[in-house]
Amino acid sequence: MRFGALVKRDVLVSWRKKSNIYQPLVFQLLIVTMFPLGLGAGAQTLAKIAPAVVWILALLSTLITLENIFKDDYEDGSLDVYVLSGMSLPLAAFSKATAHWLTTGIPVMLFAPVIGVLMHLPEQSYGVLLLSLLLATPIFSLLGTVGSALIVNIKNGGMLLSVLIMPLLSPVLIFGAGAVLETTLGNSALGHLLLLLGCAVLALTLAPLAAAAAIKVNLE
Amino acid sequence: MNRLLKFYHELGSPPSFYRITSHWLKPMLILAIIFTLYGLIDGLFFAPEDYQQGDSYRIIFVHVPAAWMSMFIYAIVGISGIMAFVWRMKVAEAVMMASVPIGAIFTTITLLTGMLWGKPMWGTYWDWDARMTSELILLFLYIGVMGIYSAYDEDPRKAARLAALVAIIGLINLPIIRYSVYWWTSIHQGSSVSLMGESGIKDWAMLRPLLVMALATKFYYIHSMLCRAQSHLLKTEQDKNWVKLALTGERKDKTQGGNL
Amino acid sequence: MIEIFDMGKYDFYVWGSIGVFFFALLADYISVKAKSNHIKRLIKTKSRKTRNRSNQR
Repeated sequence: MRFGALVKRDVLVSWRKKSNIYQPLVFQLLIVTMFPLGLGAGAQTLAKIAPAVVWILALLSTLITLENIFKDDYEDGSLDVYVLSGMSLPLAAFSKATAHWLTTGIPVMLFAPVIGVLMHLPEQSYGVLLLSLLLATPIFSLLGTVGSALIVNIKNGGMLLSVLIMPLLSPVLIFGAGAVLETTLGNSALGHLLLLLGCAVLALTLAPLAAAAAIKVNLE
Repeated sequence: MNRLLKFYHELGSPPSFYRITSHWLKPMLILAIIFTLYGLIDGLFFAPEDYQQGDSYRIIFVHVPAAWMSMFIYAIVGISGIMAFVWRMKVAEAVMMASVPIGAIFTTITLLTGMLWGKPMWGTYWDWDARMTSELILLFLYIGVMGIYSAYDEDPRKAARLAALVAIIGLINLPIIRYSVYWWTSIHQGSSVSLMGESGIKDWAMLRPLLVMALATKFYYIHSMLCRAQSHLLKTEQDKNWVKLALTGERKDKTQGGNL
Repeated sequence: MIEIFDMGKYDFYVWGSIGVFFFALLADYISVKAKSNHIKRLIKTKSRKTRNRSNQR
């Protein structure tokens, strides 16, 4: 019950700040325009790199929103209140991740096919693209809470956040972009997707604990 | 056993850590220099030529020890990170933060010598093969630990605890990253000629310098790490009495030696 | 004497690697020593200052 209320509040706060929703999408559109301009607009050239570009854009556009997941709550003292009221911190972190996923992850996932069309992504891979992002966007949000909790006290921590998160996200990128690539080549992507699922389960179990530990250190 | 336990507890307190390890610095450095000289002379001039790679394989005598060290040191960073995070040991914090720079240096050496080896073997300085890629990601992990520590410079204890957390997260992720990268290269490209080659190292005359160099890098790591850990402890504990005693005591010893 | 340093056509790569190895570790050694001396000097001047102050009193 308490958890539900927390998620509801976090989603509402995030929803009211519209920039969280449209910023990643505008970012993706801006960057995807640069590829034909830089590479030449040949459909063959673009289709070849389309799986990687769609995936990397989804990842980067999520990355720019991560910095602020905990910042407001840290600065206005809400996090202290959580601790004082005996609220379990992993649960609070999980609620933050859920809210972030609902307001940023899902729009990014739903927008990916648009980028796919612009990049001439072969038709047979849209299903796998959506499926792989459905598994991966929660991982982005979960690991994002860890990164955001680590840099919550730092001014201009965005660059540091990227350095901390990128190594953790590299397996996700390998499996996710790999899954889409396999389908464009006409192969089955099941293996990739299962490994992605494994990453998601691991992130789901460990990330809230790590984020809670980081917040605890920061509040000491 | 009892004595070992006592030794461990002694190392856990900053003053006795400082006192005990002060005696180790010089021997470690001397051992490192002797082993390096012996290993390199043996490896570069006396070890036989490789029948496939000719003389270029001799890069192995710096490349592989550095690669071993880059991973070994990350394991130490992770383990001392756990000790620093769970038990809040000051010495573990010092060891962790002292290991990170030297680990990053060994990782850089591995990457650069790997590139210099890749040029004659692969025809290109950089190839996205599994070893090179995971080594590059390892460098990012080191940079992350250093970055978070230096970002909190006004509160070193807090910084160390957060850095320990980052190191632990990295330690958990390292196997996943390595596995995924190896899997990725096995799918996306035909395996390139591995630097170690099928020829491998079978000859004792080739193996001996390699092992000697592996020991030399370990000794140098211990020297560099202990030296940095001592500085770290002096800095974080500078208002404590033992620091003043240790430093003035040192000076007294030196003047006595001069008089004699 | 020069022959001994000859690595066939791989001179640049082999000696370059050895150079990288020594340069990096030497840089590490110098930075370690500089840091240690800096800290020690800092603490010594600080303790001297406090001692002088207490002497004046």
